[in-house]
Amino acid sequence: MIIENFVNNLPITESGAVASSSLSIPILIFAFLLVVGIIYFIFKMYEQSKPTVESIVLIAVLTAIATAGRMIFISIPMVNLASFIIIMVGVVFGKEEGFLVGALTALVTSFFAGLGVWTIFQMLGWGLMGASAGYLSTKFDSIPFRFIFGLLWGFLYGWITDISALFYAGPTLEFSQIIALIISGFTYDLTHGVTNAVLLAILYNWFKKIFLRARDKYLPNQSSATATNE
Amino acid sequence: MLKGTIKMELTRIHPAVYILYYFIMIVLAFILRDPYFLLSFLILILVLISLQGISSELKQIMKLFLPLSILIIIINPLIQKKGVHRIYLMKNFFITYEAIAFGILTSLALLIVILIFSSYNKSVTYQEMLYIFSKKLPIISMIIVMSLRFIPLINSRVGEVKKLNHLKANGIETKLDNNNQDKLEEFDTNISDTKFLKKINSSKKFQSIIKEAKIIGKIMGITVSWSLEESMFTAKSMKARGYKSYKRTSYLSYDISLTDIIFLVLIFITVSIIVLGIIQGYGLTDIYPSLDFALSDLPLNIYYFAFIIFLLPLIYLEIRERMLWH
Repeated sequence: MIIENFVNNLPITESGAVASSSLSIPILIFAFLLVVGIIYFIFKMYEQSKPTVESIVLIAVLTAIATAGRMIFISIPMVNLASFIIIMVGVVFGKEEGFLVGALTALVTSFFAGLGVWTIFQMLGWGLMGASAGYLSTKFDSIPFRFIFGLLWGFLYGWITDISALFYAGPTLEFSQIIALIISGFTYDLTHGVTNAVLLAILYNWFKKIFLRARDKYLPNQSSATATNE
Repeated sequence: MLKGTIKMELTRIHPAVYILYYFIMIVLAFILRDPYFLLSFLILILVLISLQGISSELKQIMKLFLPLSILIIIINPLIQKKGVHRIYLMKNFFITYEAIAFGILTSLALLIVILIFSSYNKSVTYQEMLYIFSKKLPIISMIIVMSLRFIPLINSRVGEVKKLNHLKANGIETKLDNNNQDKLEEFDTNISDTKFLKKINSSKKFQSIIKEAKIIGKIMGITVSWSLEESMFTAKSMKARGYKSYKRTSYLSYDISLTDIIFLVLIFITVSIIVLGIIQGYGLTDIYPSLDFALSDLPLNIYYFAFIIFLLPLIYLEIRERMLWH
């Protein structure tokens, strides 16, 4: 009722279009530029930290592994290993590396699968996935937490990438389109989440060992610093 | 696998100009809401795509697009009750003509945006994108180039590990097999004693999923550790050859040509006319509260023609390229 009243009382412009609709275009463009800006800022921060050659190669390899994990097992429907790798990178190497590997995986995949508005939101989604895994890395030793984390990010990633669909929705943002998207994406998000959760539950310890070994070999400074923190 | 790695072009346009042009096209696609504008947009984009030669990808695009558009067209009238022209399906249940029209126009715009992107992927190769990227973010673009090189390497390694796994599963190398399997399955002994996993293990469906995941994980894990070890040599070799000692140069280089300037001027003039039109309400048919649209309302004004001219340059270039070749 309240919404209906609100809609009926919206100011009408000269041409008859609802005034608020013309406002939402700048908002959308602003949101898009904001996301681009955030990703650019984090990339720039990494550039300015003057990374070592080892760190550069490490991120390139991990990105390639995650991208390959998304493409190699394309024969098994909807199995997405990329998310698992990105979460593991976040846990072992830290939040910055997690974000970089996540964002770059989306970008590199787009060179193969085609670029779109969704690429920028995939970058954000996977980047945040890696970064959040980095923030919560101490809690990853409990299996229920890993399971819930993987499942939750299956859906969160789906919703973040769905934001890109608002760009097709036009000047009037419609609730119905968001619902249509969530319905059409539900099975995909669920499979993605379950795959993440199962992989995190089963393979976590083994991959942690592999990645820790690589970290100690590649980045001796970082691993000694974190060791003293722990 | 990578798209458009080789391009033969007589009419080359600076990638930055391309990116600007496509960006404006996308913005227009989601602002414009007039049946005539959108239909002519769709037709011209289809012409452009057919000139660029994409027909095989069109099938995949439709696969993505059709279910979403059907959902939008069905759900919008069910939820949206704004609109004057009501169509009663049952006694108290009605949908509005406006909501249906809105759903159709929205899915048309969705299709246009998807087509613009597939055209963009044909026009601008990833090397050109990296060229623009490398000016501002040299290290990040270095990482991207390196990971593009690592992907086929990892692919071939996965193939080798898969072969080995297959041989082992079929009982060849039996003695080694037993020893190695124990080592490889260390990772599941750590978690088998928790209550949470016992519950899951009892379900058969989960068991098969877990078995599948274990096989994938095994292959992936071996490949990952192999690749990580190997890449350490890459890093050492890069260091030894003096990476970072002086500035890297780009292997592609582009200059702004006369064509680019003409193109930019054309974009600037037509876009400013279109924006003037949009401010006055042209190209935005108001759907709610009442859609009063007649087929005879042809948009024969300067704004519409500016819009058509804005869409033509790439089609012109494609046709000119053909004329030059034949």
